[in-house]
Parts: sequence; C-alpha cells; structure tokens
Amino acid sequence: MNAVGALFYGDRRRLGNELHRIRNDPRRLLLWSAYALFLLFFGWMRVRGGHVHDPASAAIERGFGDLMLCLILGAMGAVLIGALRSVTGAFSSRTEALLFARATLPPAWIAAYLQARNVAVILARSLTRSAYAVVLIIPRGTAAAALVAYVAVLLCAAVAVLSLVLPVALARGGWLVAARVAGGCFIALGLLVAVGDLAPALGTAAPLPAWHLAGLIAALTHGALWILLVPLAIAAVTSALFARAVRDAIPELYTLSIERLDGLAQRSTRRELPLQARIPRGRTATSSTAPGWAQGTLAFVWLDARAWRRVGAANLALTCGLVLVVGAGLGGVARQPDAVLLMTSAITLAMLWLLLGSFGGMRLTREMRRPLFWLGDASLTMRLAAWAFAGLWRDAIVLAVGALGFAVVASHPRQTLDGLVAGLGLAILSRAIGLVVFAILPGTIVQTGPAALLRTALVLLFILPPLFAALIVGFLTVSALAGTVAALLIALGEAVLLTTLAAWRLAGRVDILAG
Amino acid sequence: MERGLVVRGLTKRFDGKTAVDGLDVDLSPGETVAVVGPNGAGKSTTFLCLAGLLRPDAGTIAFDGRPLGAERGQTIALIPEAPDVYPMLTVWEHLAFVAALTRRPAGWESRAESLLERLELSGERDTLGHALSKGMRQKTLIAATVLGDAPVLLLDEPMVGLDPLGQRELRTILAGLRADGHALMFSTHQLESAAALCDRMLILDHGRVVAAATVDELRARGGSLEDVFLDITAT
Repeated sequence: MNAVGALFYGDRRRLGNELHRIRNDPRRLLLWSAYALFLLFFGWMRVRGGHVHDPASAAIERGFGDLMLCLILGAMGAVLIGALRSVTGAFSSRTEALLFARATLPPAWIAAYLQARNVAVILARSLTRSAYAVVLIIPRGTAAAALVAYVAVLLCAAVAVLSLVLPVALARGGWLVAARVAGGCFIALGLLVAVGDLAPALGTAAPLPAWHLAGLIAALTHGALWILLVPLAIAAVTSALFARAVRDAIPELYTLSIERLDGLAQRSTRRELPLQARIPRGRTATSSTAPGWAQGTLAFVWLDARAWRRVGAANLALTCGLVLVVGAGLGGVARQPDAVLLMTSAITLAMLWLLLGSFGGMRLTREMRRPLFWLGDASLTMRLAAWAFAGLWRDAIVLAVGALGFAVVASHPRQTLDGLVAGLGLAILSRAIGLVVFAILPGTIVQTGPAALLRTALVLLFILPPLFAALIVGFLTVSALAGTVAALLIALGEAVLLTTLAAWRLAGRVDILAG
Repeated sequence: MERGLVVRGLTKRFDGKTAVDGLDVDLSPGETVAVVGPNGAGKSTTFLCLAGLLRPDAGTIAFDGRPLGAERGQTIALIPEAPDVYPMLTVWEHLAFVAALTRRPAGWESRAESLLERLELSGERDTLGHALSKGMRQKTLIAATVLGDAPVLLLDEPMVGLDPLGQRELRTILAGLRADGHALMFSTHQLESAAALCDRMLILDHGRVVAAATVDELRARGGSLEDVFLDITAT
C-alpha cells in the first residue's frame, strides 16, 4: 500500500463499514432521505418555469448575488481572524493522534492529508446545516443553470475559505497578526460591497464601483469555468504551503484537537448515564431552601454567560460592530420613502437571523447532566422554560445594538421600539420552537440538518398568528405599537404552549435522548 | 552507548505553570517501571511528551544512544487511559491501519494473527470498535502497538476501569511483552498492583522525581508501600 493509500485506509474503511450498517438498517436513512427530497423539491420549485426576464427579477438576482459575495468575503474574514478555531479538530480521537505520531510516512504527506480531511469534514458539516437555507433563499425564477452555478461557486468558495482554518489555527506571532489584519480587510470589503449595493436605495454615493457576483454567475453559466478555478487554486496553494511549513506539527495539532475532543467525550458519556439523566414526570422532591424557577433562570443565564466567555472580546466586538452597521443600514433604508423596501429588508434580516440561529440547534442533553437542572421544586415545564429562555440575553444584546444603529440613523423612536418588540417576540418564539424540535428529534447529527429545517419551517408557520394579530389590532386601533404588542402577546402564548408540549414529550422519555 | 530509553531534563510548562520539571528517566529493554504520584504530579504530561503529542520546553530523549526528535512516536508508543479506538473500524482493520501507517513489510498479517491469538482477541477479529469492552479496546491498542514494533511502551493508568479478570489478563500480557524485550512504563494509583508488576518505581510529585527505587528498597524504608508513598509525597 502506498503512502496515500495508507493515509486514506482508516477513513475509507470507516465509510465502508458505515455504509454496510446502513444497508443492514435502511431506516437510519429515512429522515435524511426526506431532507434530501425536500431540497430537491424546493430546488425544482425555484427553477421551474424558467428564467423570468424583467427588471424586478434582475434586481433581486443581482442583490442575491451581492449578498452571497458579502457572505463569502465575511466568512473569509471571520476565518482569518480565527473565528472557526474552536471547530477545528485535526484528529478525530487521541488514539488517532497517537497512530499518526507513529506513522513512518513523510510529515508533509500527513499534514496535507489532515488539511484535506479537515476541509472535507467542516464542509460536509456545514452543508448538512445550510443546504436547506441555500435552497430557501435562492430567488424564485432562477434558471437551473444559474442554480447549479450558484451552488458550484458556493462550494468552491467554501473550500477556499475552509482551507485557511487549520493554517490560521496554527499561526503564531507575525503570521497571526497578518492573518487578523487580512481578515479585517476582507470583512471591510464585504461591508463596502453591501453598502455599495444599498447606496442607490439610500440615495448616497457608492463607496465602490458596482461589483456584482451575478455577472460572474452569468459568465459561469456560459462556460467560464476559470471562475471556479480561482478559489480552488487558493485552496491548493494554501494547503501546499501549509503542508510544507508545518512538517512536525503533530503536538500543536494534538493540542488544538484536545478541546474539541473533550467536548465530544462529554457528549458521548451521556449514553453511560441513563438512570441519572431520567426525567421525572412530576415535581422533584427537594428541600424547601432549594432555589425556585426564577433563581434557576438566573443561574442558567449565569452559566450561559460563562460558556459564552470563550467567544472572546475581539469576536464579540466584531459581532456587535457588524450588527451596529446592519442596524444603521436598515436605518438608512427607513429614511427613504420606500416602505416596501424597508419591509423587504427587515424581513430578509429576520430570515437571516432565524437561519443562523437554527444552525446551532438546541440540545438539552448536556444540561440534564448538571445538578443545577434538577435543583428546586419547579415543574419540568418551568425548568425547560428557564433553560430555553436563559439565552435570550444574547438575542437581547444583538437586538439592542442593532436598534441603536437603526435609531441613530433613522431618528425614528417609534419604529425602533416596534422593531425591538417584534424582534424579542421572534426570538422567544424561535427558542420555544427549538425546544420542541429537540423534543421531537433529539439526535445530535439530526439537529444539524433535518431538525434545523423543521425548526425554520415551524417558525415560519407559528409566526403567522402573531402577524395576523398585529395586522388586525394595528388596523383596529390605528397604532403600530398596539399591533406589535398584540403580536408579542400571541407569540408568548405560543411559546408557553410549545414549552408545555416539549415537557410532555420529554417527560419520562430518557430513551429518546440517546440518539 | 547507553541502551534503552534515556530521558534527561524533560520540562514542560503550561501558561507559566511547570507540569514536568527537569525529569530524568532511564528505561532498559525488558524492564518495567511504574510511575506513581498524586493527581497532577505530571505523569500523563510526561507520557504525552515522550510519545510526541506534546512538545517539551526543554530536555533530551534518546533511545539506544540515538537522539529522538519529532519522529519519537515511532519508537515510543503510548496507550492512553481511555483507549478510544475507532468506533467504525473492526479490530483487524485497526491492525491493518497501523501496518499501513508504519509500513510493515509483507507478511505482517501472520504476525497480526498470532498477536490476536495471544491476546485472546481472535474471536473479536471482525467486531467493530464501538462494540468492544474497555478491556478489549485496550487489548486492540496493545496489539496495534506491538505490531508497529515500538520498543518502548507507555501505558497511562492501564488498570482503571478493568474488572479483576481484566486486570489479571493485562498483567499477563505485560509480563509477556517484557519477556519479549519491550521496555514498559506505566502510571497507576494502585501501588500493590504495580509492585507485583514492576522492576522499579518512580514517584513523581509536582513534576519532579522524588523517589526512584525498586519495590524492595521502598519497602525497606518501613511500613507499607502506601505509607512510604504518602510519606515521600507529603514532604
């Protein structure tokens, strides 16, 4: 067996054994098959009827192309400043690190293999999380060839972006500084492209000449394959330089993998704790001094805040900066007389927020191993509510920062307040739906694909009653704020019902958490 | 030329805290050394440094007079406390993977077969990793390690999680490996169990070797091994 064959042997056999297991039990594929069918169906829905040639469709397509370009540039920037460091796992286990440390193969080959596998693994994981989002946000009336071109561009760009993850994670000293500076430049460029696209709507001069990805897509559909070669060449050069530079970096790669491996080990131990993790149907018996649900909620908020300390001040500042700019951009749109544009922009941002939120999923399994979850005499419904809504503080911060940017530019306090209340209602609803989706589909891997899709679909469904309530109350009272408050109340009612449903589904069903 | 493993001045720091502090170790072929010490004494860090998974801040590692660098994992093999085999590889595929990575010459299969036989793993040849007990997983990694021809074997807490029968089997296996000329070093908290298996004991505390002696020499200090250990690590 040659060196390449030796490196691939383990993964090749693992894949073969997994396929063999699926062949013996095809039911394991049922959920994912439904997911794939959904993607195909909606993809077909988007392209059926062919391409529509009118100015409005062309503008939407161009805007979509620019949004993609901004996301690619933003992702490149985020990776360069080290945002994906925590998801980098060169080795799948400690034993694998030991096996590779013992390999008598050239170190450059090992480094190149680990780099290629890291890109492939993160790409596959990202695809399962975001494939449905791509299909959902592609504009209707997109030509089939353009859809294929969009997907090809996204995949090749993702390969280029992900090829930087491992090199950046290992970068030190001057290289790290250079990577962060480059990352900041990419993010700034992405923002300039976005502002350039919005400039005509805002009635201001664009900071950059119009640069539309839609042009590249059109060229690609006419056979300009070099467009795909550019990101692939970036990935190839980055990987080659990485393999040449790192040589004996196994200790650093091992250290990098440890944090992620420890996290995975914690999750896997849940299978060994079925009795401790059992959920009682009724109230738990505790002393009268045990904390009530209000203290419990505060404790969950505290735990959540501690867990988010790992995000780091730089990433937090960057996120807040981006949200501030987005809020200011929306504020600029609000200054224009075009109400439809404002509504479209606000709905697009809300959808993006929901899609990003649904990628992570809500997993209760780890919490249930913590004694805190079982302290107090609150019912399971209250405990679940305390846990699920403890993370609202993060949504509140994002909303507040965005509202600040909006308020400064739009100078419209009533609209700002409406937006804040509506955003809060959406966040509450989204969390309650995340909880109920976890109760229905608790599998860790499933949470990244089908469950994320179900969560988005349910949010879109459950958002209708608050929306109708807002319209009816707003129409009757001639007050936008009254309509928004009515929508918030309906959303709160739905959240209570959904949390109760999740508690009913989870009570005494520890077996469903083993998936 | 000094035969076997010679470690001098091994030092490892984490964020300014010294985990291993100028450690000196000698390990001859066919010798078994038990490394004992309180939690946080630096046992696992020492093993990870020796196996090439952590980069030491200072010190030298040599085998048979030859300095070992980044490739020392080919000479010093570590079996971690949690023997996390690949869940979706069979026992045999683990051996085949190691044979491929370490470029074993043709005919490795017959050696692998005899190793499985010796470790009583033949019946589990085609069992996937996720279906193996801890003892079986440990045996799989031992087989893979021996197949890779590493002359020095490090075992981190090998007895943890094994039932009495599993511990006895492991002791028999380690005795067999020692008889074959492998140099063995294992860490443990079970002093009496270690005493039955090792030629020498190394007591670590705060990253330093605070005692290095045979079991008889330690017992000669008076009291049980536990008393001696507590006495040494308390000072």
